[in-house]
Amino acid sequence: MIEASITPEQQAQTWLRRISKEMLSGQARVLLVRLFQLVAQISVFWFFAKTTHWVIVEQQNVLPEQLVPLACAALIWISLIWLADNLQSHSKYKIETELENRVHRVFKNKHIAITRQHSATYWQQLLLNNISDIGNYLIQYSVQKWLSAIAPLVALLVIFPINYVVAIILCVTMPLIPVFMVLVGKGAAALHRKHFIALERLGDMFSDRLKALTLITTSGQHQDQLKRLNDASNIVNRKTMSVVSIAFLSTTVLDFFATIAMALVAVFIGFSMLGEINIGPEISLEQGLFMLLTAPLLFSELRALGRFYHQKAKAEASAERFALLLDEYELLNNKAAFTGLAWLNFHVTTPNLHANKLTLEPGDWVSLQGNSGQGKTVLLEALMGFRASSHQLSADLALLSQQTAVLDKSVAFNLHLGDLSVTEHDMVNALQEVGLIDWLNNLSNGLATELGDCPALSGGEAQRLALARVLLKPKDVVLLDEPTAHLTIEQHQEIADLIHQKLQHKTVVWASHKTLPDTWFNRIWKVSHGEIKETP
Amino acid sequence: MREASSSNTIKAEVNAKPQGLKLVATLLLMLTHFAAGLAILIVASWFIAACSIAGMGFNYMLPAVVIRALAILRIASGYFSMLVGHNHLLNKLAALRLKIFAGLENKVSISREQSLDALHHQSEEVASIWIAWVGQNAGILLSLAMLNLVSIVLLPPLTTRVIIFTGIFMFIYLGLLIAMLKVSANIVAAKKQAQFAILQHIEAAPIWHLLHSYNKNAPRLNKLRELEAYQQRQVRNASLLLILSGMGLLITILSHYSGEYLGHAEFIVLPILLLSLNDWLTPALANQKQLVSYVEAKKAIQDTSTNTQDLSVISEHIDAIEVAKFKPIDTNMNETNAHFNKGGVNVLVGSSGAGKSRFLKALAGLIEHQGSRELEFTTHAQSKQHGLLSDAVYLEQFPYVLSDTVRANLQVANLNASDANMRQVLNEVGLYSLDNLDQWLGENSRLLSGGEKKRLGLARAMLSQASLLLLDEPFEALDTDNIKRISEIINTLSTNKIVLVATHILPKGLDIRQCCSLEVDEVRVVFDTKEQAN
Repeated sequence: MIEASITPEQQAQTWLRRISKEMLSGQARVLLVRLFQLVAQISVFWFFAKTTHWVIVEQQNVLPEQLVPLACAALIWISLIWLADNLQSHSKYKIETELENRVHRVFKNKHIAITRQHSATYWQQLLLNNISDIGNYLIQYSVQKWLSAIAPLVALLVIFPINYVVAIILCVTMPLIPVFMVLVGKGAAALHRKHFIALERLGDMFSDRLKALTLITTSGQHQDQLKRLNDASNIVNRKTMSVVSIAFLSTTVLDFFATIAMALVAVFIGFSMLGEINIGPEISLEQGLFMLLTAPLLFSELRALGRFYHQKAKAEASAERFALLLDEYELLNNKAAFTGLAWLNFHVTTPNLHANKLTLEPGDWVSLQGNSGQGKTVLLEALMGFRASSHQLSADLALLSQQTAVLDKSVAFNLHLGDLSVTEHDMVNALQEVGLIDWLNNLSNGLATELGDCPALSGGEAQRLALARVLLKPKDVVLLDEPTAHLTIEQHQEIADLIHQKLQHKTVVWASHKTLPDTWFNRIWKVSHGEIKETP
Repeated sequence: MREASSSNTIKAEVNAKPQGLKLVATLLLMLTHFAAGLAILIVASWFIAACSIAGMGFNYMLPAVVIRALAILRIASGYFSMLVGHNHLLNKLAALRLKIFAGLENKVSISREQSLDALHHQSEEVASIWIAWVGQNAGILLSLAMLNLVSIVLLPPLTTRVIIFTGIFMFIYLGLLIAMLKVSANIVAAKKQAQFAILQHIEAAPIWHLLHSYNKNAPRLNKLRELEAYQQRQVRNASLLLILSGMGLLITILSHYSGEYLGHAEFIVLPILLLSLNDWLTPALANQKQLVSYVEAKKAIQDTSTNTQDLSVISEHIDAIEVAKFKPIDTNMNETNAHFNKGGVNVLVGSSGAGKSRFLKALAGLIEHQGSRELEFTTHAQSKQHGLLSDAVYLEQFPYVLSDTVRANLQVANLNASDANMRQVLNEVGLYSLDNLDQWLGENSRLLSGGEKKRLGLARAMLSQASLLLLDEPFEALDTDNIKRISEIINTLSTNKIVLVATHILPKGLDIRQCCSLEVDEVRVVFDTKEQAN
């Protein structure tokens, strides 16, 4: 397979590039305003230098109208900062909302086929943290990256006509910065690789042991684990220090060039004015001061990029998750009446599942058999449309599994699930049919009782509630994925009988490890080694 | 080595390191870094101005040397403040985490797992307060002091204005801090709410297809995002207000006072400082976020004591347990009357959600119980005392795999287990692939499947010396061969231990002594060993 040769990192990079391209307009707008902001700042410096020259060298009083350009430039500068920040936060909001929508679109298409793959904590992190990691990266880091490349050029461009010697000094030092930063970065990375395993394994030991608190408490090993933690953190700290002692040099290199360049420029300008150095054109205070103020702009944006650098690593880690999640699969949403299917060469690609022929007539009862892990659940999910497959079922479907999902809302909402056309009478009827009427009568507020407030439903009761939900919807085909797997034998028999009785006239595909009477079924689908065989 | 005093030695070790000295050094270095940066700006601009109007006798060499010296001072202090500061941070973090962990002795978490998980970054936020906030803010105060000093010494007539500006800064600074603290409480609440909403939403995934409208029910984080943007806006507005007042002061100085300083080079110093306000003063405002998250993190760490339950420990060896009207506290479960002793497996049946896990936890003393739990000790003494039984092993439904070696993962059950012993046990449960005891397990390395985790848990139970084994769903996620294997192991264990198995699967080969159901109206012994035979 081609996909196998692409590492998750590369996939993440590709995804990050794609999303970056999609969100380009927001980024470009912020960048543009930031550039104008830079120009406004430079003009503030220019007018300031002019005024100072007037006071100190020309020794003339400043007239109010001379300050008007300075004040105007300053006001424009401040408003542009405001505008850029606003645009930035607006774009971030838009990007994050869009990403959130995409995640929900995937959820809406793949349902449990996707949510089952990770823990609830994973999804929490994805929606709460990873989305904003990407948002920050696109709108702060990416913009800053461009800015730190363009700002030095703008600064050089304005310094060059004033004094080419200063411009050349800066021009020569500038390329040295990336060179040194890359060298330092390589050194730090090599050192990090050397200690990688220890840092990776021992670094998370604290949160690991917190999660294991019950295990540690019950086995009475708190003291021993405390000692283990202490040893681990000593090792991690020692190794981390050796890595950061190199990594910090990167910041220092930047600091070095920024500070030294500033000091050199100041001394050069001063000496030129004194006539001690006679290289290049003559410099007035106005020009000298302007250059002194503008020169730091060559470095300040790069330094700001350094502050955002952690966003890059975070975004790359997050992108790995999104690259896996957000592919382009869309569910065809036909909800026609079920008229039966006869599929040839049906197949699901991930994981591999294939059937030469698959038949389902209206009113059929199919027993879906096979050992666990052979793909029964995958088949049912593919029938539901939660997984991409060669054929799609056009019918109104319901899937009952052992997870019944009781919502923390009223009993009524748990039955109609937002469909307000379902009447109270229907709901009471449904509860009557599944044998929960006594349970309902015991509730203080009847259907309006919040489920959080009433006694927890037992496994059997929850399954009855789930069945009542299905009965309330006009579903032609009901797929059953081990709805009784977690119940005791007696409960299994009761619930299975109830399901059989209530769904007799519907089309049913039932996967169960627990025994069910053969007489219920008129068709068998047997799954083994990725192949579905049917016997009518 | 197990020593009762080991935690004290650890604490002493951590405290013995000269953390205070490192902190002082860090702060001094940070201040030097700040001051040197500002001083370069002051000296360099003055130097240029002075050069432009200098007469013959102007000594230009000294300021040039001073500028270069300041540059080197700034670079060096910058690097070393990062290095020493980071060292201090790491040690402080380690000490804080050890303290938190030490405080959790004999405790179990009573809320959801992520509240403890969050301690990882919360401890980071608390430990970094010195570097991230105190140092930065000390630098700001120093810079402000320099601004005032410069004006008093060089430009006395401007002092009042500068002091007023300092006052404005303090006003903005404190106002922002108060406003941010207020909003951050809302953000924390919104975040918690969002976390909970997402959790519920994901748990409802099996019925998404039945929902009338998915989009109406899906939680959106717009409110949280708006709050965060609002906080950002507070910082931004404060910064802009500060720049605006700085520029205002600059223009007043130029228009009102320049007349007094015509031809004076020192006049340039104050305007230059005001002009570069955006570089040295406004970052302090954004920095307040650190203090706000410190406050929240500190609160959360203190809350861990309320989120955990303190257990008293009963360490005698147990011979038998008699429960009467027994049930876990705060549940609607039925009360149980039963007697559990050695020889034969005691089975607890009931569907998932019936409270089997809680029953076992209550029996082990991990959660409180109602009714009585009478312990018969090997010394023939009896006790109805509440508390955690140290002579019990509670095997979780999904046994936790420590991020550590296979050896450490097994020795958590018995520190004195030999390598040969561990290998033998691993073979018995069929975990041949873990033969290398130095292999690292856990999130970042070898992951175990559900069935492997079960068997690792059982291997722990086999190595343990405890006389009470509480096994939660040991057969789930196992195939028939492994169920048979595990049943035999449990049978062997039950000959000289009290064994309770909570399950909804009853394997044929299990040597069941008694079977209790938690779901029939009255909890009762359903059958005993003899009846099981047929």
